Amino acid sequence: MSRITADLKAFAIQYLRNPFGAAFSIGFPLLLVICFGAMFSPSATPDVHLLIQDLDGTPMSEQFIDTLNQTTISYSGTFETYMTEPTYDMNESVLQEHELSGAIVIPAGFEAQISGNQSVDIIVFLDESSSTDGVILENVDTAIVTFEASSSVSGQYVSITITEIDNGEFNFLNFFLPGIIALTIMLNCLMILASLMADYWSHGYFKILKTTPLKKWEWVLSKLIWYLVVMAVAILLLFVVGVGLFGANVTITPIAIALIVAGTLLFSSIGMIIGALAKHTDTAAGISQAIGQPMMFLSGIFWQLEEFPPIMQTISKFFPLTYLGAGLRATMLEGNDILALENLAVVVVLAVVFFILAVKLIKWKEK
Amino acid sequence: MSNESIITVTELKKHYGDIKAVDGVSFDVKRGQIFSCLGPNGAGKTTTVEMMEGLRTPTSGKIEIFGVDVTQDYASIRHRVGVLPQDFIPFERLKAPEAIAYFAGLYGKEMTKDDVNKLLETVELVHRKDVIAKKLSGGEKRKLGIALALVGEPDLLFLDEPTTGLDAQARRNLWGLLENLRDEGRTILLTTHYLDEAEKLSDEVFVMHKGKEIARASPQKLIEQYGGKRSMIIHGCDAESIQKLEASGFSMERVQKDVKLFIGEGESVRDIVRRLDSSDILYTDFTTNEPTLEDAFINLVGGTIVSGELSK
Repeated sequence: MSRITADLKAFAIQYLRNPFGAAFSIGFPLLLVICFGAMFSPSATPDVHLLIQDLDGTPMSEQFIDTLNQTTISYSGTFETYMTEPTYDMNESVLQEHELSGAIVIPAGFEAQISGNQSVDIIVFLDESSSTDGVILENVDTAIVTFEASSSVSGQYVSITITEIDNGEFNFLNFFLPGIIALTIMLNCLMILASLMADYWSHGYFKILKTTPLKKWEWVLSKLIWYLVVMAVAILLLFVVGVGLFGANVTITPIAIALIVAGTLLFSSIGMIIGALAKHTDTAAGISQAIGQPMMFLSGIFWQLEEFPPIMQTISKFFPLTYLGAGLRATMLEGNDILALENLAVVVVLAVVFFILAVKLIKWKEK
Repeated sequence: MSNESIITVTELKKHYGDIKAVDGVSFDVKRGQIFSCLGPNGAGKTTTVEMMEGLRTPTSGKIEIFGVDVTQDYASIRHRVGVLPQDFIPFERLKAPEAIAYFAGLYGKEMTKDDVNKLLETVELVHRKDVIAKKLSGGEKRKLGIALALVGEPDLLFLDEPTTGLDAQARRNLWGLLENLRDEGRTILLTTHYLDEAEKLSDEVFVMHKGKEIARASPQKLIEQYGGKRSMIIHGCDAESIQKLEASGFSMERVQKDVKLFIGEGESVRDIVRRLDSSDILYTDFTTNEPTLEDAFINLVGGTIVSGELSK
């Protein structure tokens, strides 16, 4: 254990003294998130454009609309409402087309049901991934409380039914963030570790270490531990920027953590295999680029796999990054744990296979 | 020095296709010895040593260190061995104290700051302790390599050309350090192409050329056996004196304007001077030449070593 600790400490010092390596490890994925975040997110306080459709057309529904228009909550952006005809077919594409934040539909029979002391549901169309959804709900809630307290109603009859819409506002950033986490793991563990291994060969570091009591598996384990630490820091930063700065709506789950650990093991092992076979930094960089770059673009990180031509979709199935990205997206974005577990299983199996191969193929001895 | 063999090498061979890098060498190294592998570049010294260090697999033959067959179980003796490889490059982004602490951790040694400083003082590197290894000079990197080889307080040290890149003073200081280590009972196997180094330090010299053993003995024995006769260079002889010299039956040869007289078995310099005086041979002064390991090497291999290469 003391040998692993000693190797880990020495490696950490060297890693942190290499500003280029650290900058590439964390800086490049962070830059991608910042660029995409800036491109696909609205301003910090987006304006709210709310469409209202009154299917009841009664004094009581008009009273509710007036209440809604007069409701003011603390919001630094503009909050505007627009009326639309009852005949208008309210659906998701209408909202997307007019770049609306949401919509409220007052159902036919609104007044009759309240007058008959029956509850009535207002339909609210919302994009829950948008930062404006809370503002809209708070406004509608406040309007309902005020409306129900009025002398003409005097009772709690009105409730809200939310219809989830996808207006595309944050869609790409949400889609992108789990992918960029997978990409960060691949870049760091495959490309950097491959070059590092070759660097150890060309400098004769393995020759020196071979003469010490340090065992090969201890060296490998120490690198895996270090890259897990680097991944944890990188992913934390990606989260802070993606969620904190640009309001991306993804969550870290236990399955996501398992995928990150297994992915680190998998790509570190592949990187070490490349480095062990190449033995020269330039060759290792060339091979890892030749493997890593197609994987980066054909594994559904930047585009959905469904948009790819069938042949590309088939090719993508041979890339481990596909399963890591899909698993992370399934658990972090879609909440689809079954799909995430299926992908996790593939990543774990590949990780074990490549780890065993790495330990077998890495030779510290000259011929 | 005891009679206990620390290293026993038997019929060791390393072939790369048709190239016989090491071709059936055998020797043993006793506890507390400084044993030098001497030879020009390409003689097979480093290949031999790297097989002993467990870095290369022999084609055939046997190597036992501390009674362990290193081709089977080098791991069990690693903690007793310190190594300075020929092409040692330190971990470039570590400072010397950090590299020492790293190796101390690998060898399971507790080292205080004072211990680290003491080791740095031993290799004369304490003034450079705040510099990352990348910025050290070639000689300083070599010194750091020696410090790392010493971290585990090894019973056996393999030093592959330890003084390459060091200036004359640093070389002499390192010789002193190696002698101290031998006095502590440690065994040192070093490879070198510096003939003076091998002569000064070694208890036993193993001369290698083209993968084979050429000779093996103490430096004194090698010199006695292969170094040739002692000689005197007589300066300032005129033509008449040279004629008299030739007529007096001296074993001699002309060296430009001077004359080289060979001192025979059982003869002393004083005997020669008496003979010169009694023959009325005039000269201004003389110098004596004792044969060195270089003379022995020249006679054995047919050339000397200049910058690592054989020069005929």
